[in-house]
Amino acid sequence: MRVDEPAEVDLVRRAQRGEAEAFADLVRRYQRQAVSLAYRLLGNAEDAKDVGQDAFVRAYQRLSQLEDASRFAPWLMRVVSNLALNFRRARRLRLAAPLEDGMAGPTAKTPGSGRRISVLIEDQDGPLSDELQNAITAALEELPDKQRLALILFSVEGMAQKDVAEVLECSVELVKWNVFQARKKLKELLQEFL
Amino acid sequence: MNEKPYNPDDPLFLFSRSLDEALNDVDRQCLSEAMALGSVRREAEEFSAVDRLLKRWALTRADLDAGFEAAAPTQREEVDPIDQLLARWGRTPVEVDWDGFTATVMAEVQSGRRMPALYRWALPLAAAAAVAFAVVTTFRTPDLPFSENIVRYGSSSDATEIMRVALAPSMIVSYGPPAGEEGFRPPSMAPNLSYGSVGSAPIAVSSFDSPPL
Repeated sequence: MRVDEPAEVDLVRRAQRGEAEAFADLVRRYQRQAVSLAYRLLGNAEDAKDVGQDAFVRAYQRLSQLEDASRFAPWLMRVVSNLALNFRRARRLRLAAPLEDGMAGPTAKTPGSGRRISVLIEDQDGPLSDELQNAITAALEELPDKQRLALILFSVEGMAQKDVAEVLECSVELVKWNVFQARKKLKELLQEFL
Repeated sequence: MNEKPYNPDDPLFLFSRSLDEALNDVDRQCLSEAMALGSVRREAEEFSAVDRLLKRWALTRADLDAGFEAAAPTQREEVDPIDQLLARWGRTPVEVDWDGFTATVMAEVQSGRRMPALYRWALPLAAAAAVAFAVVTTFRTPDLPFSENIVRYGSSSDATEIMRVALAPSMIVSYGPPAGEEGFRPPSMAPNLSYGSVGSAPIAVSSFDSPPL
Protein backbone atom coordinates (compact mmCIF):
# COMPACT_ATOMS: atom_id res chain seq x y z
CA MET A 1 0.00 0.00 0.00
CA ARG A 2 1.28 3.46 -0.84
CA VAL A 3 1.85 5.84 2.04
CA ASP A 4 -0.71 8.37 0.82
CA GLU A 5 -3.44 5.78 0.53
CA PRO A 6 -5.93 6.01 3.36
CA ALA A 7 -5.97 3.04 5.70
CA GLU A 8 -8.58 0.50 4.81
CA VAL A 9 -10.19 0.56 8.21
CA ASP A 10 -10.64 4.29 7.88
CA LEU A 11 -12.21 3.86 4.44
CA VAL A 12 -14.61 1.23 5.71
CA ARG A 13 -15.69 3.37 8.66
CA ARG A 14 -16.22 6.38 6.44
CA ALA A 15 -18.20 4.26 4.00
CA GLN A 16 -20.28 2.97 6.88
CA ARG A 17 -21.10 6.56 7.71
CA GLY A 18 -22.37 6.96 4.16
CA GLU A 19 -19.38 8.56 2.42
CA ALA A 20 -19.76 7.40 -1.15
CA GLU A 21 -16.25 8.41 -2.13
CA ALA A 22 -14.78 6.21 0.57
CA PHE A 23 -16.78 3.27 -0.73
CA ALA A 24 -15.63 4.07 -4.27
CA ASP A 25 -12.06 3.76 -3.02
CA LEU A 26 -12.88 0.34 -1.61
CA VAL A 27 -14.41 -0.68 -4.91
CA ARG A 28 -11.30 0.41 -6.77
CA ARG A 29 -9.15 -1.46 -4.29
CA TYR A 30 -11.02 -4.78 -4.43
CA GLN A 31 -12.75 -4.91 -7.79
CA ARG A 32 -10.06 -7.01 -9.44
CA GLN A 33 -10.00 -9.55 -6.65
CA ALA A 34 -13.79 -9.72 -6.53
CA VAL A 35 -14.18 -10.19 -10.28
CA SER A 36 -11.29 -12.64 -10.34
CA LEU A 37 -12.90 -14.81 -7.67
CA ALA A 38 -16.26 -14.67 -9.42
CA TYR A 39 -14.53 -15.59 -12.66
CA ARG A 40 -12.89 -18.61 -11.08
CA LEU A 41 -16.24 -19.77 -9.82
CA LEU A 42 -18.28 -18.94 -12.89
CA GLY A 43 -15.88 -19.28 -15.80
CA ASN A 44 -17.43 -16.42 -17.72
CA ALA A 45 -16.07 -12.91 -17.67
CA GLU A 46 -19.39 -11.16 -18.26
CA ASP A 47 -21.15 -13.10 -15.54
CA ALA A 48 -18.18 -12.51 -13.25
CA LYS A 49 -18.35 -8.78 -13.86
CA ASP A 50 -22.08 -8.73 -13.18
CA VAL A 51 -21.75 -10.75 -10.01
CA GLY A 52 -18.83 -8.59 -8.91
CA GLN A 53 -20.93 -5.47 -9.31
CA ASP A 54 -23.84 -7.09 -7.51
CA ALA A 55 -21.51 -8.00 -4.68
CA PHE A 56 -20.33 -4.43 -4.19
CA VAL A 57 -23.87 -3.10 -4.25
CA ARG A 58 -24.91 -5.77 -1.75
CA ALA A 59 -21.88 -5.01 0.38
CA TYR A 60 -22.72 -1.33 0.42
CA GLN A 61 -26.28 -2.04 1.47
CA ARG A 62 -25.12 -4.26 4.32
CA LEU A 63 -22.00 -2.43 5.33
CA SER A 64 -23.49 -1.56 8.69
CA GLN A 65 -23.51 -5.28 9.52
CA LEU A 66 -19.72 -5.47 9.28
CA GLU A 67 -18.58 -5.14 12.86
CA ASP A 68 -14.83 -5.41 12.42
CA ALA A 69 -13.79 -2.87 9.81
CA SER A 70 -10.43 -4.57 9.41
CA ARG A 71 -12.13 -7.67 8.02
CA PHE A 72 -13.69 -5.98 5.02
CA ALA A 73 -11.82 -8.05 2.41
CA PRO A 74 -12.84 -11.53 3.58
CA TRP A 75 -16.32 -10.26 4.29
CA LEU A 76 -16.59 -8.93 0.75
CA MET A 77 -15.22 -12.16 -0.68
CA ARG A 78 -17.89 -14.03 1.23
CA VAL A 79 -20.52 -11.88 -0.45
CA VAL A 80 -18.92 -12.53 -3.84
CA SER A 81 -18.71 -16.27 -3.18
CA ASN A 82 -22.31 -16.55 -2.08
CA LEU A 83 -23.60 -14.60 -5.04
CA ALA A 84 -21.42 -16.52 -7.46
CA LEU A 85 -22.50 -19.87 -6.08
CA ASN A 86 -26.16 -18.88 -6.21
CA PHE A 87 -25.66 -17.68 -9.75
CA ARG A 88 -23.95 -20.94 -10.66
CA ARG A 89 -26.76 -23.06 -9.30
CA ALA A 90 -29.39 -21.00 -11.05
CA ARG A 91 -27.44 -20.99 -14.28
CA ARG A 92 -26.98 -24.72 -14.12
CA LEU A 93 -30.73 -25.12 -13.85
CA ARG A 94 -31.24 -22.67 -16.68
CA LEU A 95 -28.79 -24.20 -19.07
CA ALA A 96 -28.91 -27.79 -17.90
CA ALA A 97 -25.55 -27.90 -19.59
CA PRO A 98 -21.88 -27.28 -18.75
CA LEU A 99 -20.48 -23.83 -18.23
CA GLU A 100 -19.90 -21.66 -21.23
CA ASP A 101 -17.04 -19.44 -22.29
CA GLY A 102 -14.59 -22.25 -22.78
CA MET A 103 -14.67 -23.32 -19.17
CA ALA A 104 -16.62 -26.41 -19.94
CA GLY A 105 -14.69 -28.80 -21.97
CA PRO A 106 -14.86 -32.51 -21.94
CA THR A 107 -15.74 -33.92 -18.60
CA ALA A 108 -12.92 -35.07 -16.42
CA LYS A 109 -11.86 -38.56 -17.14
CA THR A 110 -12.43 -41.21 -14.61
CA PRO A 111 -9.61 -43.64 -14.08
CA GLY A 112 -9.27 -46.05 -16.90
CA SER A 113 -11.93 -44.37 -18.99
CA GLY A 114 -9.94 -44.17 -22.15
CA ARG A 115 -7.79 -41.72 -24.03
CA ARG A 116 -4.85 -40.31 -22.20
CA ILE A 117 -3.81 -36.79 -23.00
CA SER A 118 -0.10 -36.62 -23.20
CA VAL A 119 0.79 -34.06 -20.62
CA LEU A 120 3.84 -35.74 -19.30
CA ILE A 121 5.81 -34.62 -22.29
CA GLU A 122 4.74 -31.04 -21.70
CA ASP A 123 6.94 -28.66 -19.85
CA GLN A 124 5.87 -29.29 -16.26
CA ASP A 125 5.64 -25.58 -15.56
CA GLY A 126 4.41 -24.51 -18.95
CA PRO A 127 0.94 -23.66 -20.13
CA LEU A 128 -1.67 -26.34 -20.13
CA SER A 129 -3.17 -27.74 -23.27
CA ASP A 130 -6.79 -26.73 -23.82
CA GLU A 131 -7.88 -30.28 -23.19
CA LEU A 132 -6.09 -30.55 -19.90
CA GLN A 133 -7.26 -27.12 -18.90
CA ASN A 134 -10.83 -28.12 -19.60
CA ALA A 135 -10.40 -31.39 -17.78
CA ILE A 136 -9.23 -29.54 -14.67
CA THR A 137 -12.15 -27.15 -14.94
CA ALA A 138 -14.55 -30.05 -15.28
CA ALA A 139 -12.93 -31.82 -12.34
CA LEU A 140 -13.33 -28.71 -10.19
CA GLU A 141 -16.98 -28.69 -11.15
CA GLU A 142 -17.31 -32.10 -9.57
CA LEU A 143 -16.27 -30.90 -6.15
CA PRO A 144 -18.79 -29.93 -3.48
CA ASP A 145 -19.14 -26.16 -3.24
CA LYS A 146 -17.24 -25.85 0.01
CA GLN A 147 -14.27 -27.86 -1.19
CA ARG A 148 -14.10 -26.07 -4.51
CA LEU A 149 -14.35 -22.71 -2.83
CA ALA A 150 -11.70 -23.58 -0.26
CA LEU A 151 -9.32 -24.77 -2.94
CA ILE A 152 -9.89 -21.81 -5.24
CA LEU A 153 -9.65 -19.21 -2.51
CA PHE A 154 -6.58 -20.75 -0.95
CA SER A 155 -4.62 -22.42 -3.72
CA VAL A 156 -5.63 -20.28 -6.65
CA GLU A 157 -6.46 -16.86 -5.24
CA GLY A 158 -3.75 -17.15 -2.63
CA MET A 159 -5.86 -16.03 0.31
CA ALA A 160 -4.71 -16.76 3.83
CA GLN A 161 -6.33 -19.74 5.49
CA LYS A 162 -7.72 -17.48 8.17
CA ASP A 163 -9.45 -15.36 5.55
CA VAL A 164 -10.73 -18.40 3.73
CA ALA A 165 -12.15 -19.63 7.03
CA GLU A 166 -13.98 -16.35 7.36
CA VAL A 167 -15.39 -16.60 3.87
CA LEU A 168 -16.51 -20.18 4.43
CA GLU A 169 -17.65 -19.41 7.97
CA CYS A 170 -15.78 -22.34 9.39
CA SER A 171 -12.59 -23.04 11.33
CA VAL A 172 -9.12 -22.82 9.84
CA GLU A 173 -8.71 -26.52 10.46
CA LEU A 174 -11.79 -27.22 8.41
CA VAL A 175 -10.40 -25.10 5.60
CA LYS A 176 -7.31 -27.30 5.57
CA TRP A 177 -9.52 -30.37 5.58
CA ASN A 178 -11.61 -29.08 2.69
CA VAL A 179 -8.51 -28.22 0.69
CA PHE A 180 -7.20 -31.71 1.40
CA GLN A 181 -10.46 -33.36 0.36
CA ALA A 182 -10.57 -31.26 -2.78
CA ARG A 183 -7.04 -32.24 -3.73
CA LYS A 184 -7.83 -35.86 -3.02
CA LYS A 185 -10.88 -35.78 -5.24
CA LEU A 186 -9.00 -33.96 -7.99
CA LYS A 187 -6.29 -36.58 -7.76
CA GLU A 188 -8.88 -39.25 -8.51
CA LEU A 189 -10.55 -37.30 -11.27
CA LEU A 190 -7.30 -36.33 -12.95
CA GLN A 191 -5.59 -39.65 -12.36
CA GLU A 192 -4.87 -40.13 -16.02
CA PHE A 193 -3.01 -36.89 -16.27
CA LEU A 194 -0.73 -37.42 -13.31
CA MET B 1 -21.03 -36.52 -2.88
CA ASN B 2 -20.03 -38.08 0.40
CA GLU B 3 -17.79 -35.93 2.49
CA LYS B 4 -15.29 -37.71 4.69
CA PRO B 5 -15.31 -36.86 8.39
CA TYR B 6 -12.45 -34.79 9.63
CA ASN B 7 -9.45 -36.95 10.49
CA PRO B 8 -6.31 -35.06 11.49
CA ASP B 9 -4.29 -38.27 11.60
CA ASP B 10 -4.75 -39.13 7.95
CA PRO B 11 -1.16 -39.16 6.65
CA LEU B 12 -2.26 -37.65 3.35
CA PHE B 13 -3.96 -34.84 5.21
CA LEU B 14 -0.63 -34.18 6.90
CA PHE B 15 1.02 -34.19 3.52
CA SER B 16 -1.59 -31.83 2.10
CA ARG B 17 -0.96 -29.45 4.98
CA SER B 18 2.77 -29.72 4.48
CA LEU B 19 2.29 -28.23 1.01
CA ASP B 20 0.81 -25.13 2.59
CA GLU B 21 2.47 -24.63 5.94
CA ALA B 22 5.26 -25.73 8.21
CA LEU B 23 4.19 -28.71 10.26
CA ASN B 24 5.04 -28.96 13.92
CA ASP B 25 7.60 -31.53 15.07
CA VAL B 26 5.05 -34.18 16.00
CA ASP B 27 3.18 -33.94 12.72
CA ARG B 28 6.43 -33.87 10.76
CA GLN B 29 7.54 -37.05 12.49
CA CYS B 30 4.21 -38.75 11.77
CA LEU B 31 4.39 -37.75 8.15
CA SER B 32 7.94 -38.93 7.85
CA GLU B 33 7.01 -42.34 9.19
CA ALA B 34 4.00 -42.58 6.92
CA MET B 35 6.04 -41.63 3.89
CA ALA B 36 8.27 -44.60 4.48
CA LEU B 37 5.43 -46.61 2.99
CA GLY B 38 5.64 -46.74 -0.76
CA SER B 39 1.88 -46.49 -1.21
CA VAL B 40 1.63 -43.30 0.84
CA ARG B 41 4.63 -41.84 -0.93
CA ARG B 42 3.10 -42.50 -4.33
CA GLU B 43 -0.17 -40.89 -3.30
CA ALA B 44 1.71 -37.94 -1.91
CA GLU B 45 3.51 -37.49 -5.21
CA GLU B 46 0.16 -37.40 -6.96
CA PHE B 47 -1.00 -34.77 -4.49
CA SER B 48 1.95 -32.63 -5.44
CA ALA B 49 1.15 -33.15 -9.10
CA VAL B 50 -2.45 -32.05 -8.55
CA ASP B 51 -1.22 -28.97 -6.78
CA ARG B 52 1.13 -28.11 -9.63
CA LEU B 53 -1.62 -28.64 -12.19
CA LEU B 54 -3.94 -26.41 -10.27
CA LYS B 55 -1.42 -23.62 -10.08
CA ARG B 56 -0.88 -23.82 -13.80
CA TRP B 57 -4.64 -23.85 -14.35
CA ALA B 58 -4.87 -20.73 -12.25
CA LEU B 59 -2.28 -18.99 -14.33
CA THR B 60 -3.74 -19.77 -17.70
CA ARG B 61 -7.09 -18.39 -16.67
CA ALA B 62 -5.72 -15.25 -15.11
CA ASP B 63 -6.22 -13.21 -18.22
CA LEU B 64 -9.12 -10.96 -17.36
CA ASP B 65 -7.10 -8.04 -18.61
CA ALA B 66 -3.60 -6.78 -18.88
CA GLY B 67 -3.76 -5.23 -15.43
CA PHE B 68 -4.96 -8.34 -13.73
CA GLU B 69 -1.62 -9.77 -12.73
CA ALA B 70 -0.65 -6.59 -10.98
CA ALA B 71 -3.55 -7.03 -8.64
CA ALA B 72 -3.25 -10.77 -8.28
CA PRO B 73 -1.76 -12.36 -5.20
CA THR B 74 1.98 -12.06 -4.85
CA GLN B 75 2.26 -15.82 -5.01
CA ARG B 76 2.12 -15.45 -8.78
CA GLU B 77 5.28 -13.40 -8.88
CA GLU B 78 7.29 -16.58 -8.55
CA VAL B 79 6.15 -17.72 -11.95
CA ASP B 80 6.67 -14.65 -14.07
CA PRO B 81 8.41 -16.56 -16.88
CA ILE B 82 5.30 -18.66 -17.26
CA ASP B 83 3.18 -15.55 -17.53
CA GLN B 84 5.34 -14.44 -20.41
CA LEU B 85 4.74 -17.77 -22.12
CA LEU B 86 1.07 -17.51 -21.44
CA ALA B 87 0.88 -14.04 -22.86
CA ARG B 88 1.73 -15.57 -26.22
CA TRP B 89 -0.51 -18.52 -25.74
CA GLY B 90 -4.18 -18.95 -25.27
CA ARG B 91 -7.14 -16.79 -25.76
CA THR B 92 -7.68 -13.15 -26.42
CA PRO B 93 -7.84 -11.45 -23.06
CA VAL B 94 -11.25 -10.37 -21.91
CA GLU B 95 -11.19 -6.65 -21.38
CA VAL B 96 -12.61 -5.25 -18.19
CA ASP B 97 -12.97 -1.51 -17.99
CA TRP B 98 -12.24 -1.04 -14.31
CA ASP B 99 -13.08 2.66 -14.28
CA GLY B 100 -16.40 1.79 -15.85
CA PHE B 101 -16.86 -0.99 -13.33
CA THR B 102 -16.39 1.41 -10.43
CA ALA B 103 -18.65 3.99 -12.03
CA THR B 104 -21.41 1.42 -12.57
CA VAL B 105 -21.21 0.21 -8.99
CA MET B 106 -21.32 3.72 -7.60
CA ALA B 107 -24.23 4.70 -9.84
CA GLU B 108 -26.14 1.64 -8.68
CA VAL B 109 -25.25 2.27 -5.06
CA GLN B 110 -26.44 5.84 -5.24
CA SER B 111 -29.63 5.02 -7.15
CA GLY B 112 -30.28 1.91 -5.08
CA ARG B 113 -32.09 0.33 -8.00
CA ARG B 114 -29.78 -2.43 -9.14
CA MET B 115 -31.40 -5.74 -9.94
CA PRO B 116 -29.09 -8.65 -9.14
CA ALA B 117 -27.67 -10.48 -12.15
CA LEU B 118 -29.50 -13.61 -11.15
CA TYR B 119 -32.86 -11.88 -11.55
CA ARG B 120 -31.96 -10.06 -14.72
CA TRP B 121 -32.38 -13.29 -16.64
CA ALA B 122 -34.50 -15.23 -14.16
CA LEU B 123 -37.37 -12.74 -14.32
CA PRO B 124 -37.67 -12.74 -18.12
CA LEU B 125 -37.47 -16.53 -17.98
CA ALA B 126 -40.27 -16.66 -15.43
CA ALA B 127 -42.31 -14.22 -17.50
CA ALA B 128 -41.83 -16.36 -20.61
CA ALA B 129 -42.91 -19.45 -18.68
CA ALA B 130 -45.99 -17.63 -17.44
CA VAL B 131 -46.92 -16.58 -20.97
CA ALA B 132 -46.41 -20.13 -22.25
CA PHE B 133 -48.60 -21.46 -19.45
CA ALA B 134 -51.27 -18.90 -20.21
CA VAL B 135 -51.25 -19.79 -23.92
CA VAL B 136 -51.56 -23.49 -23.23
CA THR B 137 -54.36 -23.12 -20.72
CA THR B 138 -56.25 -20.60 -22.87
CA PHE B 139 -56.36 -22.86 -25.89
CA ARG B 140 -56.88 -26.01 -23.97
CA THR B 141 -60.32 -27.41 -24.53
CA PRO B 142 -62.45 -27.86 -21.49
CA ASP B 143 -63.15 -31.45 -20.63
CA LEU B 144 -66.18 -31.87 -22.85
CA PRO B 145 -67.26 -35.01 -24.65
CA PHE B 146 -65.58 -35.22 -28.02
CA SER B 147 -68.86 -34.94 -29.88
CA GLU B 148 -69.34 -31.48 -28.43
CA ASN B 149 -65.96 -30.45 -29.70
CA ILE B 150 -66.79 -31.00 -33.31
CA VAL B 151 -67.83 -28.12 -35.49
CA ARG B 152 -69.04 -29.13 -38.93
CA TYR B 153 -68.78 -27.16 -42.12
CA GLY B 154 -70.68 -28.35 -45.16
CA SER B 155 -72.59 -31.53 -45.52
CA SER B 156 -71.28 -33.26 -48.63
CA SER B 157 -68.73 -36.01 -48.77
CA ASP B 158 -66.08 -33.28 -48.87
CA ALA B 159 -67.24 -31.89 -45.60
CA THR B 160 -64.61 -30.45 -43.40
CA GLU B 161 -64.80 -30.70 -39.73
CA ILE B 162 -62.88 -28.64 -37.32
CA MET B 163 -62.40 -30.49 -34.19
CA ARG B 164 -61.01 -28.81 -31.16
CA VAL B 165 -58.89 -31.15 -29.20
CA ALA B 166 -57.03 -30.91 -25.99
CA LEU B 167 -53.71 -29.05 -26.13
CA ALA B 168 -54.22 -27.87 -29.68
CA PRO B 169 -56.25 -24.94 -30.88
CA SER B 170 -57.80 -26.89 -33.70
CA MET B 171 -57.49 -29.92 -35.86
CA ILE B 172 -58.92 -29.99 -39.34
CA VAL B 173 -60.24 -33.32 -40.46
CA SER B 174 -61.21 -33.44 -44.08
CA TYR B 175 -63.04 -36.31 -45.69
CA GLY B 176 -62.30 -36.58 -49.37
CA PRO B 177 -62.94 -39.26 -51.92
CA PRO B 178 -62.46 -42.84 -50.79
CA ALA B 179 -58.92 -44.05 -50.56
CA GLY B 180 -57.57 -46.24 -53.33
CA GLU B 181 -56.99 -49.92 -53.02
CA GLU B 182 -53.62 -49.33 -51.48
CA GLY B 183 -55.00 -46.57 -49.37
CA PHE B 184 -55.16 -46.27 -45.71
CA ARG B 185 -56.79 -49.00 -43.75
CA PRO B 186 -57.64 -48.32 -40.20
CA PRO B 187 -55.53 -50.20 -37.76
CA SER B 188 -57.36 -52.43 -35.42
CA MET B 189 -58.23 -50.27 -32.51
CA ALA B 190 -60.64 -49.87 -29.74
CA PRO B 191 -64.35 -49.39 -30.40
CA ASN B 192 -65.60 -45.85 -30.98
CA LEU B 193 -62.47 -44.88 -32.88
CA SER B 194 -62.87 -43.64 -36.38
CA TYR B 195 -60.60 -42.08 -38.96
CA GLY B 196 -60.53 -39.57 -41.72
CA SER B 197 -58.52 -39.24 -44.88
CA VAL B 198 -57.59 -36.91 -47.67
CA GLY B 199 -57.22 -38.92 -50.84
CA SER B 200 -55.28 -41.94 -49.78
CA ALA B 201 -53.53 -40.35 -46.85
CA PRO B 202 -54.88 -40.61 -43.37
CA ILE B 203 -54.73 -37.29 -41.62
CA ALA B 204 -56.36 -38.02 -38.36
CA VAL B 205 -57.47 -40.85 -36.28
CA SER B 206 -59.53 -39.82 -33.40
CA SER B 207 -62.46 -40.63 -31.29
CA PHE B 208 -65.82 -39.07 -31.86
CA ASP B 209 -69.40 -40.07 -31.78
CA SER B 210 -70.74 -39.34 -35.21
CA PRO B 211 -68.89 -41.37 -37.79
CA PRO B 212 -68.84 -39.35 -41.00
CA LEU B 213 -67.80 -42.14 -43.34
